[in-house]
Amino acid sequence: MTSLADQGLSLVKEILRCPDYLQPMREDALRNIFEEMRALNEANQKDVRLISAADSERSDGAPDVHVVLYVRHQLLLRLRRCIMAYLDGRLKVIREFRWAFGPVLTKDLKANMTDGEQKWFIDYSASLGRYMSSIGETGVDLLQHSKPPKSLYVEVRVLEDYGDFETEDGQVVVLAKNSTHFLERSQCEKLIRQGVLEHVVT
Amino acid sequence: MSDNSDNEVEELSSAAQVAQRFQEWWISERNCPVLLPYQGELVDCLLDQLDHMRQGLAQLKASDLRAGLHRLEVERIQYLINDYLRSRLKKIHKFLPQRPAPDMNVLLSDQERTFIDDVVNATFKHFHASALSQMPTGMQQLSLPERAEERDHYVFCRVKKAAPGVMVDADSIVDFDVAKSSQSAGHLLGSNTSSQASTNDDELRKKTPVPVVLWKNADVMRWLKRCCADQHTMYAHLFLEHDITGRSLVRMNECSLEKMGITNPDHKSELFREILKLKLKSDILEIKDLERAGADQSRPSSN
Repeated sequence: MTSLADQGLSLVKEILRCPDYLQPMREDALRNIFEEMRALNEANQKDVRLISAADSERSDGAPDVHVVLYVRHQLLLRLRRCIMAYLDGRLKVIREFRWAFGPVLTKDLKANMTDGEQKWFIDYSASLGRYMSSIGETGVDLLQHSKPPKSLYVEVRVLEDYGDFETEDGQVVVLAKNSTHFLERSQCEKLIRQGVLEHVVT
Repeated sequence: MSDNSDNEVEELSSAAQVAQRFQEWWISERNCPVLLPYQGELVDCLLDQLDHMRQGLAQLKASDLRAGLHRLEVERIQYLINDYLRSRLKKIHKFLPQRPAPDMNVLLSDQERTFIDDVVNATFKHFHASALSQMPTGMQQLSLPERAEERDHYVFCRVKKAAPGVMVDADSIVDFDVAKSSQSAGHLLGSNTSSQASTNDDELRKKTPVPVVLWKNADVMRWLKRCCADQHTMYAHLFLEHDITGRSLVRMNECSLEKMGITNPDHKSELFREILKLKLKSDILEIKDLERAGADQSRPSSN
């Protein structure tokens, strides 16, 4: 019994320990918990059948069986709660991916996500996209303008070769590694977030 | 409350006023731990304005100094809007996948409600597929309680217009005087009251009283009835007879009260105390007004 409650707790502990890094899903632990829940449930149902059979014969029943039933039921609820908290905690981490990296995830980000979570990410991403495009007439990209603008142009250093970058007014800038440029903030914000550019603060 | 803010938007004529008003809401939204009513009209209005400004910008030459300044302004407003919506979403994300309770629903925009619905449905689908379906049949139904508004937070408030005697709790009343500077005289309030106060803001503004020195005799009688009910019943005729106006009221002393015919020393001193209190209050208000006028002049216009 104790080992099983511990397993639920360990899941919750794990998700609390690293709130901003997605660990691989603990499939084995989940499977064990499901197995135990099934066992608990079966034991409970057996006892219920016993009690109702006993009840029909004598009215006082067996109080200790009731207690066991109750404890088992509470255990079931607790385990379910642990699992839900674990899954919800994972979704929170994944949600942050959407805000940090945009709607398309790279392979290494997806590595620790299950199929279900990837599906959820697509759903969430679509909902957020729908929300953002429903604001005003043309929509608003909430990932843009994340910092209060202090000046129109910022100095940026290129961290990795990107190639030609066409600005809004039609000028083409070659973003070669380690070169610095003076660009309009709104246009290079996305590249800064992707890690192509670095904002040089002097 | 929402009707109130609707009117407000229609009343605001210039874009600068809308931006100013929105900025206030943005500050409140950022600092308040709970959701505030959604300012859809302001957002839409500002987005419209931004479109206009962008179109105007396209016609200016890039080398024009004005173009740069306008572009920065556009960026600034866009940041305000984005950050406003983001901080709302952040608060919403705190309670997902719980659904908001009906009393919270009124604070949300239609778009936000759709968004919450979508996310909650997706989340439950995910929960079901990855965990609930593996559990014993009796446990597969998961129902979360609706998320009610949390109101037991404290927030700092800056008083914009004087509003004496606002009920904060059932048992305490605070006089809001216009604070000299935001930091030194902020009030710490339960956010329950403050959200009420921020929405009732316009109402509070209208209550700003007529200066005592401009009071007519009728105003004095009203004050007498409100502040010293006992004296009113006894001496109302004296005040009426001598035609006491606000200006003469603040100049009264115990001697002049006695000359008027108030001989009982207890009544006299009590009345005099009330008059002094009134005088003090009106003086403070006057100083605050002067200070604010000074601050308004020295502050450069935001647009």
